[in-house]
Amino acid sequence: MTLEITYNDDTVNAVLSGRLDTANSQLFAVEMQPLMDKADKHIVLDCTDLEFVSSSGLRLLLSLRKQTIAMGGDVTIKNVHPEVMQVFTITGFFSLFKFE
Amino acid sequence: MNKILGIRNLINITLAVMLIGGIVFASGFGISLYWAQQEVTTEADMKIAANIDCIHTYVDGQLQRVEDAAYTLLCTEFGNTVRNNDSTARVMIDYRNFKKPSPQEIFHLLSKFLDSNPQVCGIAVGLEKEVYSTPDQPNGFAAYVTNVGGRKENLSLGAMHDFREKMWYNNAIKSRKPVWSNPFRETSHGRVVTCFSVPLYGDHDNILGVLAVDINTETFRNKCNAISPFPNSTVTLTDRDFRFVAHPDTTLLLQHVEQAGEYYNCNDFADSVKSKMEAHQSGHHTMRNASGDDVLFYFTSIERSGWTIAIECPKASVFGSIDRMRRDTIIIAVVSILIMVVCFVWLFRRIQGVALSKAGMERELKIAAGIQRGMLPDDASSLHRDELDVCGYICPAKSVGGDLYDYFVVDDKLYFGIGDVSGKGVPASLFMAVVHTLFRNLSAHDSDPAHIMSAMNEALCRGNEHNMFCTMFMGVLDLSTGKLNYCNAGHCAPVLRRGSEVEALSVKTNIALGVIEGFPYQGQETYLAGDDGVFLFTDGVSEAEDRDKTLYGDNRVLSALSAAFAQTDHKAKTTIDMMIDSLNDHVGDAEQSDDITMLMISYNGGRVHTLKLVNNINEVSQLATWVDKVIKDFNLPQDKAFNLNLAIEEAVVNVMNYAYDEPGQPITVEATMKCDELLVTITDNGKEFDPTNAADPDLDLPAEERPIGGLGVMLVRHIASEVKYERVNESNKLSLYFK
Repeated sequence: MTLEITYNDDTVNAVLSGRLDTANSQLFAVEMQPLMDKADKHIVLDCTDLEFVSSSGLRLLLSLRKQTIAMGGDVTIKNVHPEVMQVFTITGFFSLFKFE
Repeated sequence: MNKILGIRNLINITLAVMLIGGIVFASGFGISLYWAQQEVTTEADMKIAANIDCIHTYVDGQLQRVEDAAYTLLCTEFGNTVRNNDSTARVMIDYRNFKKPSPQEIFHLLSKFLDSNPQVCGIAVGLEKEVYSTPDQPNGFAAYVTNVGGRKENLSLGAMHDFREKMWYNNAIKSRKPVWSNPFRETSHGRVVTCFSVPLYGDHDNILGVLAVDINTETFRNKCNAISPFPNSTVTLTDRDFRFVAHPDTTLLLQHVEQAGEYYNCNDFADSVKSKMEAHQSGHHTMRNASGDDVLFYFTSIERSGWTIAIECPKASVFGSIDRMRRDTIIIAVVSILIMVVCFVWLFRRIQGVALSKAGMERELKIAAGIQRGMLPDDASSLHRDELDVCGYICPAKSVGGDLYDYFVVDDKLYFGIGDVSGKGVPASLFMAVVHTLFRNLSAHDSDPAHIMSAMNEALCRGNEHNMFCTMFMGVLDLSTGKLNYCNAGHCAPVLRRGSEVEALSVKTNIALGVIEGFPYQGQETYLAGDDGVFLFTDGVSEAEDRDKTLYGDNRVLSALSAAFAQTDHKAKTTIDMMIDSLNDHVGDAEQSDDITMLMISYNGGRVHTLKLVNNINEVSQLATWVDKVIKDFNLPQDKAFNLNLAIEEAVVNVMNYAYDEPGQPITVEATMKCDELLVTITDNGKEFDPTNAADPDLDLPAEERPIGGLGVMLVRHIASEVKYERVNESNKLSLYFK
């Protein structure tokens, strides 16, 4: 799992790749701390290379979403694989994020 | 084979033939020999009797002629015949009127008598002095003329001695009737003679003279010697005292028979013959002489002189012809038996040749049966598969049969089949070999039973001039999943074992292979779980007959299988053995009419993949690799990988989060196929926790109100087709089923 973050004026672009499984979620929690800090911005998560996501990953994404709600930011997820999207759908997370 | 036509038997049979031939010959020979012996005996009797008669007639004739001549001489020259009261005759001399010829006239008279009776060798006449006397013979006159080799000698006996003392005179005086003396040897000429003395009676019953006539017994000897009814037979003549008058051995003349020895001394002779001879009877007797030779002894008496004619014939010469016949017959018999034996051996060899060619054929059939048996797999151990236990049984009705079964594993799939070719024997076995080869070859390229069957059908229909066909059932069992694809071609439906229960397998009949070209064979499928099985058989099982032609029948097949499956031992061989026993109980000693073939396949369940983890989140990363392996191994579609990964990970993480308080505790994940579903079980020894009880989170809540937990279980429930929780032996067991 890798997370590459680039900062623009109003948006933060993050490219999430690899497997976001339970084992990786602790690492992800550390790596996404910059995003949590910039939760007032519009965060765009590029999931083109995201292969897998588990509930642990979802929980972290949920906490990011909650942070943006608290700080006035927003989260957009784009280029999600159908299989990963299915997880968002099942869990009802589909309604919590903007998808492109 | 060798046992039937071996050299030992050849010898035995030859001996038997010789024995039987020998017995037949011997009995035929014995009977004919018996009759021949009877015939020869009768003939010998007649022949010897005729010979004895001949001698008797001759001797008696000679004696009689001499007697007659003597009487004639007496009557004409000395007296006349007077008949006695007892009808015997006596010669009377009228001595008072006796004309008294001169001695010269008397000698002349006697000499003339000798001339006219050549058999007579000497003649004597003695007259008392009352009748006749001369100066030189004053006490009575006796004249004797003898013929010695044609020369006559005259003797005036009265001048030489008292003739009354002499035997020739005395005999007649003593017996007072004409009498033949016992033969004696003349002192003068050494001739053995017998003397006939006739008394001359006076008026008062007094004897006044004797006429005596000598016969040389040589004439009888010559006669006897001339007679020989059989080779080496001996003709003898004995006098009243049983002294030899005639015997081939002249040294024995006048010797008593008992001195002569031989059989005359043996008990047989003394007991049976001697008394008869002494009583002047006739007869014959068989006895053994001192040399141990059996002889036939014939005898008869000459009343006139009291002599006995005896003919002794060695049995060997009497039955010589029989012996020759016997010898010839034995030779012929032996030669015939030998010829018979030779013919027999020749015939035997020919039959043996035929039998050997038959034996050769049988041997080839045996080899063929071996090859055929060799085509079929021996036992399941060669498969080296833990998932499987297979046992086949085949028992052809003839040395080679038309039944077949086969099984082999390719790419984790068990291919198996059972078939029954129409007919029996060599044609069926050849067709069976073709079917078997096709099955093997086609199965190498295709795992769909319907395709394989169709392809086999096409191949078998081509050039099937003899309209052979083969019913067959085949299946392909995926060993990892238990999925069974099968196709039936007119064969009797196999029976399923579900644990310990019998279950019918739904089967589309289709049609036997080789009947309709292009027939669309339809396949079917089912799943075998662990401890399930399939029992396949041919109609040789269901149609096995007992002595009363009662069929074993499908019901017995099912009940016997029920009994077999009810056993705790579910080994395929156990099932087959029980079926064989049940079948044998039914059939008993009835002859097997059809090939009997059975195949039992026991499935021990699919492969189990196991992953052992401890309750540390970092361990979860192993799951992805393991799931990939399971997917590959069970041939699951790749697009299920994501969901499987997700669900299993969520479930495992859930256990890690809640089961244990302590770190480093074990969690076991296992994957196996249950029918067409993947079953994943997650087992831990932690505290009781049933994730299936947890309620799904409310998905309609806005993000800021969403709870952080509960998502994992929800994902699991959503992805898996079924989730089951069990608390077993202080363990939590979570079972996830995936379609």
